Order: sequence, then C-alpha cells, then structure tokens
Amino acid sequence: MDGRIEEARRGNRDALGSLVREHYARVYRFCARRIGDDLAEDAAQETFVTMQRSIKRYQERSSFETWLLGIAHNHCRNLSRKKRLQPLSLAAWEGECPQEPTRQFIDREALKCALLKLSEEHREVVLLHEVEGLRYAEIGEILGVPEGTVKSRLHHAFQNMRRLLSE
Amino acid sequence: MNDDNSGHRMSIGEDLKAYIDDELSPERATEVSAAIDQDPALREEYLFMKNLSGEIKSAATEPQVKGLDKAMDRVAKPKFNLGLPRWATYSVAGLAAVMLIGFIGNLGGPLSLDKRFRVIEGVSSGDSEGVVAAQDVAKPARPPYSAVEKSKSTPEESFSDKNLELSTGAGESPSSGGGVPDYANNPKFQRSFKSEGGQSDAPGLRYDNLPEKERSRSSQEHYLGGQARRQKAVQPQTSPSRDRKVIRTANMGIKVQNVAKAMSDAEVQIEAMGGYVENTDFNQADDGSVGTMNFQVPEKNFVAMVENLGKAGTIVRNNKTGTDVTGEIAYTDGRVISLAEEELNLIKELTRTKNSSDRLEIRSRLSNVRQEMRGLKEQNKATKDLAAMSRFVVNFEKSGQLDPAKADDWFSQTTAGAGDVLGFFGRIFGVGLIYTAFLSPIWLPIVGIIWWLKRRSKTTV
Repeated sequence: MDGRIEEARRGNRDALGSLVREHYARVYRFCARRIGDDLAEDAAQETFVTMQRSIKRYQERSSFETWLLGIAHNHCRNLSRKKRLQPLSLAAWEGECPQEPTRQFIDREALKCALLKLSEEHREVVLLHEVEGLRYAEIGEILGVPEGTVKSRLHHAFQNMRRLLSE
Repeated sequence: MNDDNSGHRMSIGEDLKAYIDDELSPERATEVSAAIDQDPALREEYLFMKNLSGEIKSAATEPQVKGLDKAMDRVAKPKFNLGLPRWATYSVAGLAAVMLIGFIGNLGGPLSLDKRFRVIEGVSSGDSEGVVAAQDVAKPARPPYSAVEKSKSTPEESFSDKNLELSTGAGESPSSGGGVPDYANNPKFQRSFKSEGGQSDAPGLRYDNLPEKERSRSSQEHYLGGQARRQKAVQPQTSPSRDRKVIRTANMGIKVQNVAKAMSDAEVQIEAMGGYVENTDFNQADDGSVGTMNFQVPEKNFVAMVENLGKAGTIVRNNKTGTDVTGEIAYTDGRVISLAEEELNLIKELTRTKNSSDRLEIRSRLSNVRQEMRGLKEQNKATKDLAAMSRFVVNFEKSGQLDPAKADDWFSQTTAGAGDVLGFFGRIFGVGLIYTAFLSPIWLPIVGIIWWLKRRSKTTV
C-alpha cells in the first residue's frame, strides 16, 4: 500500500496534502464532466474532505483513485439532485445537439445527442469507461454493481447508440 | 460462450464490446476474434463500436483544473475529533439524551434537586417518597445527636392535635432580660430542656377548635428545587388580601458553622422584627453542637424572617404551612351580630313584659346570650391574635457534623453515600428510559427522517 495512505490514516497532514495534490486534477475533471465547471470545484473539495474523514475506512478492495472517484461520483449525484441538474448533462462536451439528426458518421453533435438520449445508467457506464478510462471492475466498485452488469450495460448502451446514430 | 457474473450466457455479439475493451479472458477473446474473422456482419459491428469508442474518448474535453488551493486549505484545517468510534459517540450521545430527559422529567418530582441533596447529605427525614405532608410541620425535629433521645413519632402521631397546638403565651425566653444571650457559656443551656424539640409547654389555643373545613384549607408546601423556586412558592403567601387572616408556621433545619452564634443572631433579628422567643434548646457536645428555637414574629415579617434564617447557613429542611382563618372570623363576627340583635329584642321584650315569671325567663335567656357573645368575641380576638403572629420551629445544626453513631464507620457511610448517588443516577436513567419510550411517537419519526436524510446524502464509499 502507498505509505502516504497509511500516514494519512494516522492523521499526517503532509501525507493528506500530498494525496490531494496528486489526485485533485483527476477528481476535478471527473466532476466537471458530470456537473459542469461551476459546481466541479465544490464537488472536488467535498470529495477530499470526505476522503480525510473516511480514509480509515478505506479497505483497499479497489485502487485509491477508484475509491476517490466513487466518493466524487456520490457528491456529484447529490449536487445534481440538490441543484436539480440534468444527470450527466455533458456540459463540458464539445458541440451542441442538432435540431435534425445528421447522416454523418459519428458527428460530434450527433454523438452528444445520442449520448444524451441514453438512459442515465447507460450513459453513466459509457462515460466512466470511455472518458474516465476505468476498467469494468472499477466501474462496478464505483456504482456498487457487479462487473457483469457493467459489461451488459455497456453492450446495450453501444447497441442503442448505434441505432440512434443510424436513424 | 462465456458466463457473466449475472449467470447469463452471452452471445459473441454481446461480448464484442468487452473484446474491444480487452475485458475478456484469453480463451474467450480467441473465440470472439475467430468469430469476427469469419462473420462480415460481426466485423462491421466490431469496427463501428471501435470507432464509436474512439470518437467518444476524443469528444470529451479536458476541463481546466481550478480550486486545488482551496481543497488543500480545507484538508489542512485541523478538525476537532475525539478519535472515538462512531458507535461510541452515538452511544454516549444517546445516554446523555436519556439522562437529560430523565432529569427534566424528574424536575419537581420525587427526585427533585432538594431531594437529591437530602439523600446525599443523609438528612432525609423519612419522607422517602418525596411527599412532604402536613405532619412534617408538626413533627419534632430530628435530633442529630445522641444526647437527645431520637423521636419515635409516627406520621399519625405527628399529625395529632397535640403537636399542632399553637402557643400564644410567652415561653421562657433567655433574652427576656435584654441583650444577646450567650448560649455557649450559659450553664443554663448546657443540657436539653425537653425531649420533644421545638414544642412549647406554654398554654395556648388549640387548633382543633377550628371547623373541619377551615383546617382542610391548610396548605402545605413541598420541597422545591433551589432558593428561587422556594421564594416563588412562598410568594403567594406574602401578599394576601388585606382582610385575609392566615396562621403561618415554619419548621426549618439549618446547618451553620457556629450554632451558638447563629442562635444569638436569630434572637437579635426576632426582637428587631417585633417578635419574641418562646423557648430555646442548646446542646454543646464534643462532636458538635445543636440547638432548637421556637419563636414568633409578626405575620408581616414571616418571609423576611425565612430569608434571614436562610442567610445564616444551609437550609436542609424548610416546611411551611398557612391556614386561612378568615372564614372562621367572619362566621364568628356574624354570630356576634346576630346575638346582639337577639339581645336587643330580649331587652325590648323585657320592658314590655309585666309577668314576673316571664321576666325571669327573659333575664335568663338574656344572660345566656350575653355570655355566648362574650365567649365568641374572646375567641375571635384570640384567632386574630394567632393570625397576627407567625410561629417558627428552627433546628440549628453544625455543618459537616456527622451522626456520632456513624461517625467512626466511615467505610459504610461512604459506601452508603455512593449507593445513594448510584441509585439516584439509576433512577434518573430509568425515568429517562420510560420517558424516552413513552415519547417515542414524537421523537422516533424525527430521528428517522434525520437518519434517512443523512444516509441519503452520505457520500462515502
């Protein structure tokens, strides 16, 4: 295990600071892609405050970063509910959803539109895997679902996107 | 074919995405790869998914990171934490809440503050249920020293008319010659004069002459917690209407540093207030001194006298009664007026009557009426005099003085005291639990909602 995590568990603030410095950018981007830049800062800060409070309960079933992203995921979800945001609104994505569907293969706008038309569960796994680069097992840890469910959701999400993009 | 975690057998097509993502076992990946090579439709789907995956990755922007300094500040900020496990924190909080509920529930009840002090200080006078009934007023003060034989009076005996006999005559007063008496050096007061502390031998009016309905109006104060509450409880008695006549009595126990000085000071105050001492009883012993004073002060100075006595030391017993005799006086006055009218009629009748035998009979009746009138007037005067003065029975005891019988047995005394304290907290806890259980329809939904909201917003993994 990372020695800093052990030190942070003992309350060493230098170790905590080092962990924040190392993982902040990743957590911030994760949040920004989900709830937008405006709220990402708050969500990221809350994530590290929660990390500080709960680090003694980190059981190493997943990587430390996955654990952190799980916390960030919950904070983002709570903030979305509180601010009544559309879940996973893709605010930080390029392009706008077109009025008319385009025939162009994987056009950016069409892609964003297709993603937004996916169910929240499907969009969630697509973003976690394709954008955040997480493995199925890590996504399962964050979402609290079995790995097979992640695999199944991803398959169906891509099937749906293929259908939506070919319409 | 491959089994996924949910137990479903997935087709090659369903494994295509996992194959692209390199999430399949080597054996399954080989199978899928072979299928792609053999099936053009599957190959087309594979290429589409791979391109789509790449497009999604490239479409996602990289937001500009900000707020690292604030996050560092928040994490670096020291946070008060006892380091207790969560269950311990919740348990302590719950216990404290139950104790608080029990304590609040007990206010004014059988375990009120004064009762607690009485238990701890071992000065409980037997009213263990916390109900200080009328008998406590008349009950002879508990002699805290072995020199005086311990009173054996039962509550019934204490409530007897004998003990409620109120003296109107001036008892033996050591201060009758003026000046401040020196009890400590006066051999006259070196022994106990009476076996029943606080009762005067002087003749006086009997309380049992009062009508039953008037006696039942006698109010009795319970012990109340704190001087402020005591004052508050006394307050209504301090301002009766001008015509109201109330017979007041007080039975107090006071712990003082110097018993002789406290008694001397009390006498000065009594005389200054226009009262007088009926009798005193002072005992000097090796293990401390005790004293009893019976005295009267004008009714208007009743509250002031109680306050002054409270300043002399720590009040350990404070029983007061007030008996309203206004009705009795009014009734007697009315009876006198009616008798006066009857007297007038008899006189008129006497002047009109010529027959000597009739005149004799009228004279006899007139004599009886006049006699009854005189008796009633005297009785009324005596009742008014009684209400004009308030009676006090005060026991002075040296503070910190131990019961000589138990003084040497420090161990059993300590364990008994500790047991009392433990019992007190046990009862508080018990009462708290009962209150908590009975009030659960109120607090349980609130706690449930808070718990649910907290759980909903819980963000830890």
